[in-house]
Amino acid sequence: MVKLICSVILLFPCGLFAQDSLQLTPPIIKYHSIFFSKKIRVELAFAYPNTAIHYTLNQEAPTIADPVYKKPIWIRNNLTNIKAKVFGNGYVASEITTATFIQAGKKIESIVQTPPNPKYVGSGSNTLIDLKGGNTAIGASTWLGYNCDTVTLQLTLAKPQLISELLFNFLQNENAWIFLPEEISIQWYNQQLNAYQFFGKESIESKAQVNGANCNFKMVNAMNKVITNKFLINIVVKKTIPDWHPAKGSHAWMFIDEIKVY
Amino acid sequence: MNRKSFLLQSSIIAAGITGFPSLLAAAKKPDIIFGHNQKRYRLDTQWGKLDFNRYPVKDCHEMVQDKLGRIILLTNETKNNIIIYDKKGKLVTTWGSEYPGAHGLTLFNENGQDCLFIADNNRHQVIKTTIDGKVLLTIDYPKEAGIYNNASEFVPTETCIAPNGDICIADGYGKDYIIHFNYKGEYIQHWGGRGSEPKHLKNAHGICYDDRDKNNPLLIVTSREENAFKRYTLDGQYIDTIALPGAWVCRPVIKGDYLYAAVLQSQHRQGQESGFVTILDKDNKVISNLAGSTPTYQGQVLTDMYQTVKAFKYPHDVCIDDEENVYVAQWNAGHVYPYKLIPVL
Repeated sequence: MVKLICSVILLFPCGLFAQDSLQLTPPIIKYHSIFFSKKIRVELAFAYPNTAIHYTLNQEAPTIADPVYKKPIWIRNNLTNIKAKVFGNGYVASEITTATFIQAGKKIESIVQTPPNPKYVGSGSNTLIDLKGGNTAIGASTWLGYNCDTVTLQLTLAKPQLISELLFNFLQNENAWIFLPEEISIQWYNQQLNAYQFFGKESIESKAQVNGANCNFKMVNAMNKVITNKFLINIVVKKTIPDWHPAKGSHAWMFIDEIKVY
Repeated sequence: MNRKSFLLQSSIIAAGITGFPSLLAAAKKPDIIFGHNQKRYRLDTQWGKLDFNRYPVKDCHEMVQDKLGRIILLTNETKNNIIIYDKKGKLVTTWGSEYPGAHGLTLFNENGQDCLFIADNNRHQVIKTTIDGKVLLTIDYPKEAGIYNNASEFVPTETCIAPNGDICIADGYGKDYIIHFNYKGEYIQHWGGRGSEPKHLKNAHGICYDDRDKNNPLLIVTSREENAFKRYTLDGQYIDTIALPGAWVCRPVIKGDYLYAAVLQSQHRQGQESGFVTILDKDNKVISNLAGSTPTYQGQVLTDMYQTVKAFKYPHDVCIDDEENVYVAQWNAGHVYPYKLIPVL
């Protein structure tokens, strides 16, 4: 009889039976900044009994077969992407949480930009080149926030160098009216001609609604690699929030926290 | 529509779309156990469910238990601002249609009679009523304090009542002052307010009278955006801060030796329905999180707390009844009625 009862309990563990309707929340990826010089230490966290974080570094969605997180991960390569997911305890596995880590490129001597909205002034004039960022909280002091039509930036490198691409890191939090920009266009300074010339352009199409808050980098590639020490950058802020959005027609915001040059 | 109001509205829409399926799914499988240490509970999402067409709710903001053992819910739905249940979740009665910004609900036993204090965001007032809704006193913004230009700057979220009947109002959505009145609603003093010093508050969302140490009663105030409670003497002198990293705590609720609080959301997942419930012991150490991370201290320092299971969306208040059951009222959660958590021995 005892054996029978035990069997029944094993077959129908009430916790497991009940909990499979609820989902775990995604694990936390802990870092000081997503930007780094040589290497960066990243921790994953999820303090809950009988669960495990599985992660990948190859852009694939983590499965139960992927490594279990046990100790901090050191990242050394530019644009390394971590994807992590929690499994266990009879609950539905979490959604994936992800972060991409961005290495410092060429040394940027100075940057001058359109003054941001007074509410979102970051940490001052060097906010976009201080290697600090990747925090999705709107109030983080790493973001410059704009709700004007166009943002202009003048960027000067320490010395003329061969340049192939520029990276821009944006916040996307559409519920809070913060959208990716519509376009980034870049001109480079041709010292011989004493004139700015076309470097590259990236148009960003609005896709379907994106929930939650995430960091989203955009790379603008050179049409032809150039040797220069100056860039003139125009970022076109989304002027009209799309029709699906309850604030349709309003001017969107653009948040940016870092620019890198490679 | 300005951006601030939009943030609220868009969240409501999102919650409306996603709220019901999870509730229904959970309904079939009620044996869900949450918590840590000696504070573990079985979740019942169906406890307070009513016929929405007859007894609707918007945000379920706060709950208290009266001397008859009934559970009283305050909602900003003006068809029935007050919904009174018995402990089994059966509807007893409803009342109230004049509290569009119904937010804070405090019960005080005044000479043997229960009375209620409703903090109304929209009306910029605190209203004292009998247990069945007769208005006894209305408190407007204190002009004589010299801190408000007009009534709209005063946005009360909570009250607490001292044993002598003095009333402390938390202006949690206004200027974050705690305003002290006598039992007649006459201004005495104010303290707190915004600023960068430890004594200041950021979103003074809740307040309670803590007499767990009978020889040294004090006030505990929420500083929600700081993820903390702050303790003050009864005359408003700052004592210390109880840091609760990661947790957007709502009002503190004392029951026995313990302090309970709804956590509206997790700091790192703001706006993403990431709330849970936290429980502190008599030393104000977190000992249990319901649907939240295992409380961990490194020395005396509490590590970040966060939601771990998507059981709640935005918990806004807890009520602990005379049998130690915990009721959870939620803001912006798809019009869900309160959940009940039954202790697991």
